[in-house]
Amino acid sequence: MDDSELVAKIRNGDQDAWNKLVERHSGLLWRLARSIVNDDAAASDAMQTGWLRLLQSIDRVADPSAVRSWLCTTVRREAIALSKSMQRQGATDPMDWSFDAPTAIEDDPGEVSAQAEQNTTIVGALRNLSAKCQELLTMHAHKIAYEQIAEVMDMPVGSIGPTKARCLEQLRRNPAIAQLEAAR
Amino acid sequence: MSDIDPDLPDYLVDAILSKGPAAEDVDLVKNAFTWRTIDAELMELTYDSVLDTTGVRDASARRTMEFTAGDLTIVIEIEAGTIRGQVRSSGAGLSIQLVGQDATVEGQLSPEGAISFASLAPGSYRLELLDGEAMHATPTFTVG
Repeated sequence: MDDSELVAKIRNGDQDAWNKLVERHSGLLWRLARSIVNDDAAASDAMQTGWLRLLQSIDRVADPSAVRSWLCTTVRREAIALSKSMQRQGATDPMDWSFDAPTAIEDDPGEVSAQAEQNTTIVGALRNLSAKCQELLTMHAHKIAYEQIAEVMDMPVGSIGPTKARCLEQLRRNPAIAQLEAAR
Repeated sequence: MSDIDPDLPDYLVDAILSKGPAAEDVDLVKNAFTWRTIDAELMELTYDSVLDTTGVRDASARRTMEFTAGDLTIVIEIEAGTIRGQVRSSGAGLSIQLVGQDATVEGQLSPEGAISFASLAPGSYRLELLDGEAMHATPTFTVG
């Protein structure tokens, strides 16, 4: 069932359709928000607020087939506002993408699989890129079409590919990534 | 793909997708379906104490949140099944209710705008405020 069919069912009060839509897109929305706010909990807040705004606007969404773009745009806006609020409060600088090591993994390295350890290293390198690069690469990882990325990020479609190339180039300059690629 | 538009390496895609939202946060969104029938303006979260220090949520600690909509502001403290707060508004005749998953509780506003809800079961809640003819509601938050 595609998004527009789910939206039609949600408009008729179908909780199961809502659950399916939430399961389908929450990962993308959280990761997109996490690209902007350097904090897991804040990313969850932005994601949740985006979903609430959709519920309030569900009868007014003009193109139900584009509900994913609508959600991405809304969550992105929420995350940017939250990021600015965190800056004002003196919390973690949202533009400071220093290595953000998950504590659970550091607590007990013996339990961590090699794959999880590699993912941690890669995500750490990703967090050193600009928020724009992180957003772009995150949406690419979710195989979102260029036209939709351009719409969400308010960028010309023609600049998406070259920007992605520059972001990857920056990522590969990270010693950890260079080492990982050399070993492959 | 050309050099100016390379594919993402598989290891990067795997790493990006390896972490997602907490299951309980996704469940909160699913449980918020009742929002569909709420005719209220969603208030903006303008302060959250869990974002003010380490950014790590601690269910046992007191959490302070501030929500705003125009000149209406509500500040709440959540701790161990209790919500205490302060409502500031230029309008008169405010009324407030706390909406949980299973029940709605009418709040008593003091002349100074103080509110208090106690003995709350753990779960997700929102506050709804009627300010004149305008209905405002906070985003959902968790009471531990």
